Amino acid sequence: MFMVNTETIPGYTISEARGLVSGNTIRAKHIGRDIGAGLKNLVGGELTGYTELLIESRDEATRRMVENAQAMGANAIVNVRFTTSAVAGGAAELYAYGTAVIVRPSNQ
Amino acid sequence: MIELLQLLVFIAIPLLIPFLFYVVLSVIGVFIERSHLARLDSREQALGPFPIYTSKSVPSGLAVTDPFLVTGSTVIGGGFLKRIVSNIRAVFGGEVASYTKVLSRGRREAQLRMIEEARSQGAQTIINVRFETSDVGGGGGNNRAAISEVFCYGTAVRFQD
Repeated sequence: MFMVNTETIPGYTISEARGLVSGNTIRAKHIGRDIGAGLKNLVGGELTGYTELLIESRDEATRRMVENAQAMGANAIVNVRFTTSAVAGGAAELYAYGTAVIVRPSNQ
Repeated sequence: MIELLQLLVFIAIPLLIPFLFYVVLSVIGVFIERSHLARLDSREQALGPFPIYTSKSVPSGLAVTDPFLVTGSTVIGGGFLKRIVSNIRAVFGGEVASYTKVLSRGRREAQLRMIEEARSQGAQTIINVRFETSDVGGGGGNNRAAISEVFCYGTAVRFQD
C-alpha cells in the first residue's frame, strides 16, 4: 500500500477517491519508563524511552489507518498527516489520517 | 570557639548540599548538551549535501519516482535547571533562550533521523516536509515537566533518470 504525504503519487494517476481514513492509538506511560525519564530529565536531553514509546504508537496508528484503507478497497493513501497530543492522565494520543484512493500506473 | 564551629556546620552544610547538587546537575547537563551537539555535527558532515523541500514537488521541476513516507522523531526534555531559568523568565517575559536551544537540538536530531532513514532506503531527496512539536510533559497536573516531542515527516523520492 502506497503512503505519501503529497497529494499525488509520481507515476500514478488517482482513478477514484474513497475518502478520509484514519488510525489512532492512546498510549499511557509505563511506570518504569516514567521513573527513568524523571531521573534523566533532571539533567535534560533526549528521553529515549519515550521516543521509542511514541514511535511504536505511531506505527500502530499508521497500521490501523492502512487496515481501514484496505477495508475500503483502496490501494494507496495520499496527503497523510500525523498529530500527537497529550491527553489528561499522563497519556499521549497519536493520530494518523489521510485520503484513501485507488491508483493505477499513469501509462495504462 | 566550639559554638562558632557548630553554627558554621549547622548553617553552612544545609546550604552547601543543594548548591553542590545544582553544580553537579549543571555540569552533567552541559556535558550531555555539548556531546549531543558534537554528534549532530559529525552525523551532518558524514551525510553530506542532502537538500529537502517543504514544497509539494522539487522546485526546479525535476521528475521524481518511487515515493515512500519517512518520519523522524525525538522526545527531549530541558532538565531541572532550565525549568528554573524559564520560571524566572516567565516573570519578566521575553525569549526563553535555554529552551530554544533544547528544541533546536531536538529538531535537528529528528530531521537527521528522517534523512538517514530516507537515505538508507535509496532516496535522493524528501519533499513536502512537515514539522510538529507537541507537549508530552511527564507527571501531569500542575507540576508537569517540560518535555516535548519534535516530529518531522515527508515523502522520500528518487530522481527519475
